[in-house]
Amino acid sequence: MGEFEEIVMLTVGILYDEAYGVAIKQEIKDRLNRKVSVGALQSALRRLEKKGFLTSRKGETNSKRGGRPKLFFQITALGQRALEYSRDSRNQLWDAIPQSALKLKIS
Amino acid sequence: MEPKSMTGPSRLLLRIFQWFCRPEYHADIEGDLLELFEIRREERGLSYARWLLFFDVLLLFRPSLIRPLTGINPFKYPTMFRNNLKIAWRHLLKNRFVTAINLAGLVIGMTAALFIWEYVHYERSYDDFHEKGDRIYRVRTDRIKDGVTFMQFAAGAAGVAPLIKNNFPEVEDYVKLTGAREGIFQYQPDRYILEDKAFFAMPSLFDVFSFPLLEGDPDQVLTEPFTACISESTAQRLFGDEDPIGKTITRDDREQYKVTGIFADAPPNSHLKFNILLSYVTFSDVLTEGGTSETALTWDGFYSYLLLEPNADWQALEAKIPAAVEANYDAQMRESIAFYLQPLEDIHLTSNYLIEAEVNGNGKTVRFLFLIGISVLLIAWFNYINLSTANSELRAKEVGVRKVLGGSPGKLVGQFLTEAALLNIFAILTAFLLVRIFHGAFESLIGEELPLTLFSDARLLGITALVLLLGTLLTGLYPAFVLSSFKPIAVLKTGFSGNGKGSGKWLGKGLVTLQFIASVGLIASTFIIFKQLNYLQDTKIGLNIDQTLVVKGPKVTDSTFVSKSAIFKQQIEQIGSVKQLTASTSIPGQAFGWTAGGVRRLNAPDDQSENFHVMAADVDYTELYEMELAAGRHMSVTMGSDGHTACLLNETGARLLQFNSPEEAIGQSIEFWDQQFTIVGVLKDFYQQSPKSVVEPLVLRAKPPQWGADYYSIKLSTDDLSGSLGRVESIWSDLFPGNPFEHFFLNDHFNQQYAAETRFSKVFSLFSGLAILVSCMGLFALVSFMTERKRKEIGVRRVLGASVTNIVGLLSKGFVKLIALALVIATPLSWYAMQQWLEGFANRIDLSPWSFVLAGLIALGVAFATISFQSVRAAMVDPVDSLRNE
Repeated sequence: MGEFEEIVMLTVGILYDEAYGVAIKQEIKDRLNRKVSVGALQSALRRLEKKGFLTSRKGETNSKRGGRPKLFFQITALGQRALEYSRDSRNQLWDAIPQSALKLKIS
Repeated sequence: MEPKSMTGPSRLLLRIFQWFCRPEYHADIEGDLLELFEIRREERGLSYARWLLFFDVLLLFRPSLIRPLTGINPFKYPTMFRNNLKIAWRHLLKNRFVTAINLAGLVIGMTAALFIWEYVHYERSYDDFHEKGDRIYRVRTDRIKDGVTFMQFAAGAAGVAPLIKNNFPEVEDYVKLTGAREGIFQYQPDRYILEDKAFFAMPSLFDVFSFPLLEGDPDQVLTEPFTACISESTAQRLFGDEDPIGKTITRDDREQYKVTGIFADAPPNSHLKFNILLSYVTFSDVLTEGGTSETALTWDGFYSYLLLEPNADWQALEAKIPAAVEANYDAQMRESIAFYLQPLEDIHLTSNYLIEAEVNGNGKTVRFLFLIGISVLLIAWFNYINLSTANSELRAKEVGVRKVLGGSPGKLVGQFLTEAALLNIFAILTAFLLVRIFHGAFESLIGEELPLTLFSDARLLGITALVLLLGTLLTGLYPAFVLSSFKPIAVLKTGFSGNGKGSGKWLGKGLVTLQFIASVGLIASTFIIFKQLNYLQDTKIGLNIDQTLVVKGPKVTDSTFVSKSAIFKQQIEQIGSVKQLTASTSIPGQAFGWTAGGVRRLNAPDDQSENFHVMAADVDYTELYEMELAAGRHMSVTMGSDGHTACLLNETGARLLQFNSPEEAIGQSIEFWDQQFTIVGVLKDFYQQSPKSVVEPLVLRAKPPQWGADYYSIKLSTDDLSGSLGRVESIWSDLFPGNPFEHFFLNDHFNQQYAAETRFSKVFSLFSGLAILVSCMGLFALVSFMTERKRKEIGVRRVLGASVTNIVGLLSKGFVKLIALALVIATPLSWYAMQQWLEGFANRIDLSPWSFVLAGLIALGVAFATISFQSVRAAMVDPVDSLRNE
């Protein structure tokens, strides 16, 4: 799972029941100050869905969407495990860094 | 519900998105886009939202989101592609006979095409390395008399380049060169070379052209009298490892030049090649002191190149020259001379005039070869098309089953295209290998050094890729569509496509006819080329050049030259096997060398003076070469005055001077170069060079003994040529030490003039042989298919009493008709093409229909032999075997 994919997954998690394209895009922009194109986002979402990390369901529409439905994403069990694995391996690596090395870097 | 386009998003953009997006993703993404659009419009306004929508749609165009191209993307789903490959491979292996014929044909065709492409590419690349090449033009000179052009010089009038430069501002610069005669350049007593690629050149040469100067100051070289620049290889030959700069070289033991620069050797594809450049001021100010080499328009032999301003109109400039000639000289000069500009890069393939710097290429030859290469390749491709459609019955079942199992026509086309691509790729790889292997052989065939550019030149590689693509599409598409159009029910029920009639059959016949049009045309052209060549070589040239040894005259001479050359003649003629020796300024097979513009009858007015070739020779020259007289006598040693004032004309020359008959000219006097000569005889017209060109007017004057001899011709009375040669050489080195003994037998030398034609005929016959070979291979396979298909029919006919002859006739009739048709079409085409080629010769054969009849008979014979090989075998089969099982 790549860095961008991880961000998308986490954002989907944050939004829980409200995770659809525009909302994810806004959330990433608000929280991380990172601009994401619709193309990059959608291609990541579909890729993650194909890997089995996300599922999707069709939702309601509103007048702003020209009658087009929203597509809500949700993290699957597999996706959750992948996220946990990703976090664990990071933590493990963080823990392995000697204190002095980090101090040096900070100072 | 479509949003309003004036206030909403662009409908076109959304439609484009819908077109390229994967259908299952489209709905919700479009929803997102529209929602974003609304948000943005509220925040920042309409145009901002529209712009961002545009970028969003642009960025949505990515592989994971776009609709797959044709059902299945071969790069995404390699299994399908791999399966296609596997089936193609199996199919090729299964039908080895057809594969072999197709492959052999394609390999031959592509190899031929690649070779020819390489050659054509090289010939067209001449002079393309000059940075300012598109602005450089050479001025050539025509001489005109009474409105008739009679001499055309590549190296023209001395004064024309300065004249144009001074009168027209669009000329930025010019450079003028004139050939220094072949000479000996000496550094130290034991270090000398004989060099004929030496020129007097202006310093602007290095500005106008892009010949890189390796050493020396580009602003300084060639500006001072008696300075020289030499090429890198010449420096190596003359100086070895020493540094040549500042050293002195001696030319013909007379003049001394200081070397001030070294330039890189000219690339092989330069129309102007030189090894030694001497400063032009040496020629104009010192050697021809007080001469008029900057203004004279009657003095030829100067290569003049103009560098025009960017965007200058060269044709307009060319048109303005005559007026400038009249303004600076007079109206009479304007009438008698014409100047033409030649774009630099066109010179090599289009220019063939007097005094060219190098023997140029022949644009027509290059075009012909190009056509041949294409023809051979097309013939091979046609074979593939013909064989794979004729073979279609074999694939009918396969196609039927594939279709029943849900194969779409698109997938079937993909399958057949894969097969074509596989075969074409095989063929081109093999062809590459063959080109690499036979490159040397091809070089010696065309008699030129050809850099192996095939693998390094991006353009050639690009063209090869294009050929590959074109070949695959051309050979694959038609069979693919024919095969994939089969109706599954029909083929599975009957095993036949039911499609074999109709247009497909006509196409096959058409292709066979086209193949044979090309073959017959090529064979007929080969005949004509050989006939023309024989005609040229058999034409009586009016000279006897057999058993003649020629020795190039000494370049390094001193005051004892006159007596030494007399001794040389005497000693040589004492050799038992030598009949006679004579010295001259030119020899048969060589240009006359000199021209004189002012030859006229004694006391005739200036405007009746004529242009003549001039040659000087010992008085016994014409006797040695057994030249025939139209009137008068040969010059003679016994007539004491002959050596100074006698001259001979040729018949053309006598006519030009308005003598009504050769006899009338005898005893008359002519004058040129401020001297008078008495005409003692008129020679029958003879071909000095070769019957390729017309006879031009000539004055042959006696050579004063103090003039150097350019050539000694030695007539031998024996066939023991090498024995005589040794004796001559030892006398030579005794008398003329320091001069290399350069010799050749005139016969060989003379025949070298036909080298280009000989090579052309060889290349032509090779490629026409290949063309007919490939055509016949295709024919062979076609006939074998047909006999296979008609096996039962033949069996039944045999049982009912048909003879072998009947059946062979039945099988061959169709093809023989096609070939006869090809003959009818090919004749006028190749007639026209050959007429074009023959126009390049002053003396040429008349085209006779017999060449075409013969070519047709040969094509017919070869084709018939090919057909009957199969058809006779089929007819001889015992009908029991073919009818036994059903």
